[in-house]
Amino acid sequence: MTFDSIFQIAFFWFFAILGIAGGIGLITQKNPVMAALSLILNFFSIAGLYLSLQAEFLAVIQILVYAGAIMVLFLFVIMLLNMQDEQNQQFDVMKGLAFLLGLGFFGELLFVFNSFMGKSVSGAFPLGKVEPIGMQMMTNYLFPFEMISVVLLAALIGAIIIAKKHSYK
Amino acid sequence: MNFNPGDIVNFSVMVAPILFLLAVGLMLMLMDVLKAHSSMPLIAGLGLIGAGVLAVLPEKISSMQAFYGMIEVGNIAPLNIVFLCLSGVFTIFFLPDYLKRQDKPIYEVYTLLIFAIIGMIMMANASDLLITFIGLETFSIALYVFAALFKKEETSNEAGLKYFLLGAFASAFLLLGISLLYGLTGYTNLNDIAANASKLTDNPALFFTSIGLFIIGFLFKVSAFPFHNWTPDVYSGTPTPLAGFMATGSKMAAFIALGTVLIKLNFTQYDKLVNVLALAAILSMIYGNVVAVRQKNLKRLLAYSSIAHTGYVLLGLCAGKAGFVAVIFYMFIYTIMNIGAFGLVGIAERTLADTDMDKWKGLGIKAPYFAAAMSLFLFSMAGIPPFAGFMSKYQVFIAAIGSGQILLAVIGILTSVIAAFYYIYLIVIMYFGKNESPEVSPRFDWTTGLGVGLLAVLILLLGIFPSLVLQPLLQYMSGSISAVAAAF
Amino acid sequence: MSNTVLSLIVLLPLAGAALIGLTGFLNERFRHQEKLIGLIATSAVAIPFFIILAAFLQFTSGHGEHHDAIRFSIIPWIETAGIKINFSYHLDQLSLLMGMIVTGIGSLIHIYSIAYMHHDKGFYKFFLYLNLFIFAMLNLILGDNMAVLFLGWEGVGVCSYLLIGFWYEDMEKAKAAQKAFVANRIGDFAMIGAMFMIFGQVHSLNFADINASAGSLGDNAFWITLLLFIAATGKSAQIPLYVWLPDAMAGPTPVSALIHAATMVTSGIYLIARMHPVFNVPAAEPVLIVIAVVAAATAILAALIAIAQNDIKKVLAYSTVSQLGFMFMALGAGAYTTAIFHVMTHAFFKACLFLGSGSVIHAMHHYFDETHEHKDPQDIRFMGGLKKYMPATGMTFWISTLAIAGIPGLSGFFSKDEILANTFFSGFDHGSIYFIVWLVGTITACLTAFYMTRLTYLTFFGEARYKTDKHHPHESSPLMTIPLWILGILAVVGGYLGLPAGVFGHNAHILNHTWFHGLINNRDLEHTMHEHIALEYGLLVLAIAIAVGVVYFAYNFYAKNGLEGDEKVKKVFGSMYKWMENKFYVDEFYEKTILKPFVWAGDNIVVWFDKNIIDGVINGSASATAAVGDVIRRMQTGYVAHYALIISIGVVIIIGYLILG
Repeated sequence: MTFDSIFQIAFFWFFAILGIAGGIGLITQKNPVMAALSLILNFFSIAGLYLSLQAEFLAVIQILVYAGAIMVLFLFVIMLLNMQDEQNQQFDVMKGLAFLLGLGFFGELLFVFNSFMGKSVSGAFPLGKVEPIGMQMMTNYLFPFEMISVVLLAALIGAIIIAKKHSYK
Repeated sequence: MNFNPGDIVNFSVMVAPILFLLAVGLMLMLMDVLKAHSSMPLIAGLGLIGAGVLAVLPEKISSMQAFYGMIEVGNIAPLNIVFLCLSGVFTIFFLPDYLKRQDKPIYEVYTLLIFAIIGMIMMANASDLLITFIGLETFSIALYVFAALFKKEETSNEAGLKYFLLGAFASAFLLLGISLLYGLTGYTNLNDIAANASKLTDNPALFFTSIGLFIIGFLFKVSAFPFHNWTPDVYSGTPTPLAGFMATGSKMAAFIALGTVLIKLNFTQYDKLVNVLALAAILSMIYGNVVAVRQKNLKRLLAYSSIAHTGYVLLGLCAGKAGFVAVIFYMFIYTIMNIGAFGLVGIAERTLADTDMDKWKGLGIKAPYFAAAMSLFLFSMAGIPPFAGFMSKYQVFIAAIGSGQILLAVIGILTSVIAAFYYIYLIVIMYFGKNESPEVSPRFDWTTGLGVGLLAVLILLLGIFPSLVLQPLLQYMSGSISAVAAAF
Repeated sequence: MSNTVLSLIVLLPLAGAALIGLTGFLNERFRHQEKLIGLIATSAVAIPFFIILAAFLQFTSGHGEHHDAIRFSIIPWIETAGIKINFSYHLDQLSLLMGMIVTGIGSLIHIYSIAYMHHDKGFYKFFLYLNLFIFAMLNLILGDNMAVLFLGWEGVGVCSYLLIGFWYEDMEKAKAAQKAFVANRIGDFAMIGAMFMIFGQVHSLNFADINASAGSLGDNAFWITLLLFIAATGKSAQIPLYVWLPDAMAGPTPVSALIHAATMVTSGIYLIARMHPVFNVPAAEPVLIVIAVVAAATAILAALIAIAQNDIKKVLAYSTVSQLGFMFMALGAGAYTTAIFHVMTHAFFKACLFLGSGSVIHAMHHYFDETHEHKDPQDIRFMGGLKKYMPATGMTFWISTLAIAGIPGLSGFFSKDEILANTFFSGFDHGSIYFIVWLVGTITACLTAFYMTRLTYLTFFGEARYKTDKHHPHESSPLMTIPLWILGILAVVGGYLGLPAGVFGHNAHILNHTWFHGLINNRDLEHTMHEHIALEYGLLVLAIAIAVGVVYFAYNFYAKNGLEGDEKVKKVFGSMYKWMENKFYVDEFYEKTILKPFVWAGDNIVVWFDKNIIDGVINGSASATAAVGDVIRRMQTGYVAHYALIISIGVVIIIGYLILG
């Protein structure tokens, strides 16, 4: 095993465990601010995983957009609303069932991926660098790229409808 | 990569309906700003009709994709664009009057409606899973907002939040499915995936997982059992005509998208996939119909009945390619009668201050036209000839039988007997119920009246001459459909 | 005759309905022009009658040779790659006969209704529905394929529903209308099932194609015929779906005469006769036995109930159910022409009886109005001696009663005797169960003669059970009595079309041997009948003895006892009389066993699902139940989470099945 591959594996496990820790923190933290920070940790680790896949551009965007812009908004909202700590933290049957189901789904995916282990796929275009991504977006993926603006526009109008002060009751 | 700027022009012509609708949407935003509110419904309606015309205007094209295999513009695409646009037009007949009655003049709705239909068109005609997902998100966002439109009302608020949270939850499964498909084949393009089917079948477990998750995402959107439970809550909280739109347009788009993908992957050769759909169909039919029997609230009743109708469409879907015409036909007929029914409930809602069934007692005498139109839609939904609802049911049943799904068809037939019970019960209440309360009876304004009349005529016309729709459907499918689906 | 003229048969009633409907809808004044409306509606039915009559004459001009059906079509309906179905019709022996019954009796009833519905505020609507009904009924009997037949089949159902509900004002009765509808739906879906199966096998829905390839159906014929029979039990009111017919009597009486006696309810018999080659397939033999047994059970059950009823229309309604049972007995014995024969004679005398009862109700209603009494104008306990005041009604009613009772020489005698004879002789070759069916049929014939004589006596003879000093009931107008006389005469002579074969020479039976020759092939019993010719005479004598004897006995019994006679009948039947009075509690039974569970399931599935699965199991407590009303708390206690949880269960199960299953 070369140094590269050992490093790669170590890199992967580090960010994978960190990501899971962030996820667990997100759902167990009572304090909303702490939960949001755990989510940032999770986003960061995913960016790290992207890096290990040589998708540098994606990693940067992940940090910029999610960990940066969106999470800052989250935190603002939390602080503006002055949210209290979550009260109900008991481990009830419902949560137990949810946990079991999650475990079940995880098991199923593990089983599936295990059967796929060691095989590789071809046909993907080289991700990661800014240039090929830009090329693709302006050529093959022009249509979806443009159409995403419709999604954003729809969301924008939706947000306006919900937030706007209407004269009616 | 041979990229040619001239292509973009050609492609833009090919997706002209979408671009046209986009322009209409932007124009509506502008009108909103300029306070030209009163003509917004008209422009939206005309825009949708224009887009429909643009779709069928070109000579019939056999299957062809625009934008490097992103979106299908030939095959049945023109027709389903027409159908989806019509679902919007039908809704617009009822919307202005409803919002006026509710004293909530929210004009952004029309813009959003146009964007929702763009999303549906994209999803239904996508030949790349990326477009499928973008389309789905576009109209989903619009529908979330529709659900929460009356934000000051608790039910609407609740509906919006519930739909949003659960919709996002289901989208996650769909997205996981899509990414697994990509991981498996290296493509998101459907034709490429279909061409590399061997890569799929080499890894059955991963393939089934990915396509299973994909199906689950859509089963949620069409509210099939066991992913149905949001439906009654959301429909009853959503402004009524928009709930009608939600139950029809979005489901039609989802069924077409799901059907297209499954048929391209030739899913009928995998018994397991058919079994999953068949089981969902059976449970939806039984659950929807049985629970609907005792609903007292009309919107909830229509919601449960819509779960049952989903079951019938799934039944057609199980027949694979042979049933696809039946599926689209069913959804189109369902669109007509369901938007009509929701629209009428919306009219009565304000006047009778409730959507409680008991309030409808004696409407047959007090509001004869209203009751007659409602009865027509209900008869049609119950599947009674000569109304179109019978034809659509017949089509899916015969498709199911043609593909050997006898048990499914039998359950379908039996459950539609149950369905007849609750649809007829409402008619009985309207005509034979003694009215105790002296409330005023619901009245139409002329646009609504026009819409009701149009839908009623369509129901009768298509019930007697289903070929008017079936024939073009078959033609656009370019004769690739087996004779069984065309039967009758 | 040209296609255009023939098309008028079907199109005129539709045009009549459209004209009356649209004009009435647009013009308030038109609604009160009763004569004009009546004229339009009646001619829309009478003209088709004469066209069919002309076609009939053209058809018969060839003296008993085998004819091809006269065909005509209106417009193409469904033309797709797989199949073509047109609005196309055929006039062959069977549909000509049925067509004449429907339009002929239909015309008479239209005329009658002009007087009967006089001053009703829904006058124009009534005729609109009637014309629409005739249109649908003509589609049913003239259509040359199952699709058109089914369209008519559903159409008559809807029209019947509209007409039953014509005078509805309270929910109790409305629920009855709903019952009629749901009972019919069950039959309809059996019909759809049969259509699917046939289409799957034959790839055509044309009767000619289906009947030609009946032999190739093999074992499928069993299921197809069973489904067709279930369909027929819905429309033609047999066990287990007969319960709606007595309730349908709430509609105006002409409707009962037209739809619920003469035409619509016989469409199940028409259906089976039309598709009889499928029933003649060996695999379908058990179904014929089922039909015969169900028919016999229906006949006797309805006859027993009829004895204990006091509502004049209810008695006639149960009598109709019972007589329909006779028709199905004939079908069950494979004697399809005999069944159609009884359809025809029954149409004459039962229409006459219903119209007569309408005349009586009309008269009693006016009488009670004049005397300001609040009594039920349909209750025979308040009648008696009406013959004196209503001679025409009384006379025709009495003739029809004698006809239904089977007095020799009248139409009912011939058809009923033929049915019983066919059932009996089927016993030799097709299983001795037919002997039992015959026995039940014979007992039912006794009961029929008894309750019909009772009804007539208590209504028209004996002492008047109302005051006649100042006012008395009046005979109805000629518009009502003329149809009665025409039907009365038909009830007398209608039977000579089908003289009993064995007795008057084997070629004397016009219906069997000349008319239906080559179209309908009964199960062959001639050989057996010939072997036991003495028995055939014996049965004939027995039938005559029963009819004459029972009518004579019942007449004298009620002449002697009057209303008290019922008390004695009650003693004879003992504890069963209570069951008869209460219609054997069948309605209650259905309510408890079928309706209740559905209502229960509908009520409880969701509640149970939410409460037990989600709250009970998942939360381990019922605390969330209290929060149902409170939207905010509902969200927080996690209904959304519950839904998400159910979605997750679905996901895990589906994926698990896909990868492991």
